[in-house]
Amino acid sequence: MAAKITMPMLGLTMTEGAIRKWWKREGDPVEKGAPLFEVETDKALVDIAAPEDGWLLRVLVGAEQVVPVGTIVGVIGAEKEDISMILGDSVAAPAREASAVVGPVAETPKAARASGPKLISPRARRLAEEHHIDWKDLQGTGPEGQITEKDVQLSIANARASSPPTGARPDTVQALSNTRQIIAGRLTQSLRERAHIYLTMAVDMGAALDSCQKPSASLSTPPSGAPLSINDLIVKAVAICLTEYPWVNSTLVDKELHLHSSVHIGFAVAAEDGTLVVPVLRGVEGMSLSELAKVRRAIVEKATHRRLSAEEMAGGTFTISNLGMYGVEQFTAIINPPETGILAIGAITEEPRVIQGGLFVRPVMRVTLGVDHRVVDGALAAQFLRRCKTLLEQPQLLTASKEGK
Amino acid sequence: MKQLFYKEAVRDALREEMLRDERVFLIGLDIGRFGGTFKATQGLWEEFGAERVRDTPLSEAAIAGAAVGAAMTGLRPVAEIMYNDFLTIAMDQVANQAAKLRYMSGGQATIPVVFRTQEGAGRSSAAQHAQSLEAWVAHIPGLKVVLPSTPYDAKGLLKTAIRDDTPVVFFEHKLLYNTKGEVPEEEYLIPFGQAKVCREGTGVTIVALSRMVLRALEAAEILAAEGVSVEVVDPRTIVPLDIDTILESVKKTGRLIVTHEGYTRCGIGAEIATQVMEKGLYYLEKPVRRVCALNVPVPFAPVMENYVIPSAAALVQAVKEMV
Amino acid sequence: MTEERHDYFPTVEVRKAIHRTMVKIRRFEERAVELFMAQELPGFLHSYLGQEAVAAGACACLREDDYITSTHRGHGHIIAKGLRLDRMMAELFAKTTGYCKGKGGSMHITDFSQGVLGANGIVAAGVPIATGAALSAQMRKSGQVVVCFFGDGASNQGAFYEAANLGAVWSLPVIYVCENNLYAVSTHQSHHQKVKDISTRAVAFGFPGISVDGNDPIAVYQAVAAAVHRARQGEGPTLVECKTYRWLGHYVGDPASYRPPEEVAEWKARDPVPRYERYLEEQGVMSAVEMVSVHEQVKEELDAAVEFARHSPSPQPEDALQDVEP
Repeated sequence: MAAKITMPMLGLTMTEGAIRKWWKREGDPVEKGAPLFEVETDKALVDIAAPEDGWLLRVLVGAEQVVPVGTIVGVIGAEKEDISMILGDSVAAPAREASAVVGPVAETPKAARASGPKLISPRARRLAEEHHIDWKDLQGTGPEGQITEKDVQLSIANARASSPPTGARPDTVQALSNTRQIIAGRLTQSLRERAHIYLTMAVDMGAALDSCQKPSASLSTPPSGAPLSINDLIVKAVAICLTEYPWVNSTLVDKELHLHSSVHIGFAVAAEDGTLVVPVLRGVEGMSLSELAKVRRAIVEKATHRRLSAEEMAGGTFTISNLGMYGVEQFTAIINPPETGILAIGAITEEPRVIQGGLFVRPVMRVTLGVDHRVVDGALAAQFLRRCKTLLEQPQLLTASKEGK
Repeated sequence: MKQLFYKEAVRDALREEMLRDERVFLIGLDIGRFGGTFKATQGLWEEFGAERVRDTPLSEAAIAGAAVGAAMTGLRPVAEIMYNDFLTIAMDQVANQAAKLRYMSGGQATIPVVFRTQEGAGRSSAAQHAQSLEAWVAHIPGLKVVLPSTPYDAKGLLKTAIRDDTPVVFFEHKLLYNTKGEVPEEEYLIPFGQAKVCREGTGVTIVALSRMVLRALEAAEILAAEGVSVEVVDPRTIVPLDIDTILESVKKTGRLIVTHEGYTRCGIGAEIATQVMEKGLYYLEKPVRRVCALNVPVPFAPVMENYVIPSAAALVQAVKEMV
Repeated sequence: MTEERHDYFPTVEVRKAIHRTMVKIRRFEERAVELFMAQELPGFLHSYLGQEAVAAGACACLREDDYITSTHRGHGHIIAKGLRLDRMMAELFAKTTGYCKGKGGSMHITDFSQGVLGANGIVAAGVPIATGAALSAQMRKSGQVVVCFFGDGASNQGAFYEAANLGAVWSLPVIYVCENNLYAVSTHQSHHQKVKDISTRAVAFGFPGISVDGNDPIAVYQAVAAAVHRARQGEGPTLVECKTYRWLGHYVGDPASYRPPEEVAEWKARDPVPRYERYLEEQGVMSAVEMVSVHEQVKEELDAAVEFARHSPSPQPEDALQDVEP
């Protein structure tokens, strides 16, 4: 029995999705549960499985097309089944071209020369190469369809017109992917709404590093087999602070401050394709360090391959962003709406420190707390941060109150 | 500044150099009392006498050869070959002797000779009196080749030629002798290897030689009225050639026309076009175009001569086909 | 011996000097042929063997600052004008120490500082040049004269007529010395011109012409000396035709089968070198011992010249780009 395949709603906020790839072609047999096509949402790449056994009788929306949720994208049925009835009443929303690299915006090329290589004047070719334009895609208006300098100039002008202004002249022109567009929107929204202030502290990470080497010795955690990382200590420390300073673990809605009962920490990860994704560790306040370590590692792995589910990316109450692995000493991060705070972690570097009059070399990490000043004043933020520093400099405190669950 | 005829500019250059350096003397046909066929040496015989302004028998080989021999032994002769078409008779002395004796002797000889001659069409002089043969001598290493298009250029370049210690072939144009132009009162020299941008433009470059410079400027005026901007470049010296100025212009416009009265085949245009192709291919929007004399002997009848020799109209047409 | 002219008869010193010059030319040319046949020399050689008396006799009349123009067959002229054997040899070997830095070769060996205004590979091209040099001498009032060497073949070139005519009309101090060796490459004189005595062509220009036995250096000396005197007096050019013969072909390696062997034998029997040596001995000018000594000295000089040439450096390829202009 023929079935329509539609663009699924993969998240509560999803309105449209882009089909990145079809795993099957028209006429191929399909198995229920096997991947049929890949959808890019604003958060992830998701494989959509075939709902039943059969044949992929029709592909109605091709790859690189963006369609609203609910659009029929294909039809599965018995081999050679007549699907005209289904097609007849399908509502196909007009598909947009999912653009990747912008080529010429000129009309689709008419056939110029029947055969042979494309002609281009030396001057036009040099101009095209300087602007990284693949001139073989251009349509030429010169004799025998030769590409002229003017054709290239037109192409450059069009490329500029259709890509976002970057201030300086862009060398390459690319339209933003859906994900990037969403991120861009969120960031500017955050800056518009929140009164960001930033506080930085230097944290002596000597004890924390020791703890990671020998967790059982210093942290009294049972050996769990899973190695501890600095990030685990940081997440735990922040979680404790958020329970102690609930105003930092909040959401401002109009004139109402919602204080969250649980601590759900979003941990920013760069996916392997370079996109920023933020998996959320839920209920960190209730996790032991070793539990946290396991959960964090698993979810970061998924995030790296953009295989997170929508739930896994939703509901954070605070975000941590770590650029230390890149050598960044300190930085300021933008608060992730609808949250109130964000902690930016820098690299651990050996530095000379004066401790009680003596000069020592210590591993130092700078952390920068960003908070929404509409909700959190400087003094409160400072206390929060100082508590965080204390917990990290004395990591045995991280396990002192709670031991497993 | 004063207004001088081109022939007067030539005469003034000769006169000034003869006053300045007693080793300079003139040798040629009818240059003395007659003042030269085109009156370029008018008055010089009266001023300097037969010793330094020497009329010769009708013997281009002897004229050229005697000039070479005199130049090798301490004098600075300016030999006139009345029509460049007669270069053929003098050619051994110009191309095999003057051009090469220094080299063949391992640098021993210095031969500061100037061969002044005259070229060009437009007066129904027919095939043997209307050629422009700069390509012949430009081909020979050891010779410098000069083609002035204005009185200013003629005077400055001829003085430089006389002071140059290498053999120079200096081509005047028969229909330029009676053109007028501004020439400074005070002394000046024009160095070789310096082209002149006679008219600035942005759309097409025309490189023109000798009288074609005037026709190119005419064409540029006509085209300007139709909205096409033409840049006219006069190389002034073919050897040495200021290719850089030409390339700068082509870089700007992307389009090049070369025009001269010499035949198209193997003319100077071929050399310039090739150098531009070699050094500036990626500046070119269109192929280089040569608007030069057709590959036939120059005819007598004016209607045919005007067809064979490039005109301002031909240049206008060529520019239009290029933009 | 020719009929004497009592004026212009060479002194003893001059006669001895002529002898040395002839021996030098003879030995140099013999050695050059040997080296060429042994493939030590690139290019071509046009041997002066057999014509020694002309160059020796003619150049013996000249001042050091007088000029000559030479030809493709010019080794004899330039040795007679005083050029060094070692630098000549080095030029034949295409070395940088040669007179022309290896850029000229056999046909173009020259030393402008010694008054040699080039040796020309274009037949008769030296005639207008010599005429021009004479013009220069006249205009500068230096008293210099120019001896212009050319052959029977050149006497048919247009350039010869133009130049000689110009020399005549301006009374230039030039002596046109025609070495008539009966052949222009392979063409016998009787096939390339109607006249037998080229000197008669002087009438056409309006100056004197004289024919002499080119293998008698004293006869050559006398005729050229008289012409030099005329020239220095401002009386204009003279054409001196020297009848002589080249022993080898046009170039070394040319078998010259266009020449009848009896003719060759007849001229070789009148070999100018032993002939002159016999005369010198008979006249008591030089003893046999003295002459042998000259031969030995020349041989030494020549051996040294060859060694010099062999061990001189060859030019670098890029040297080709130098000396086009000053």
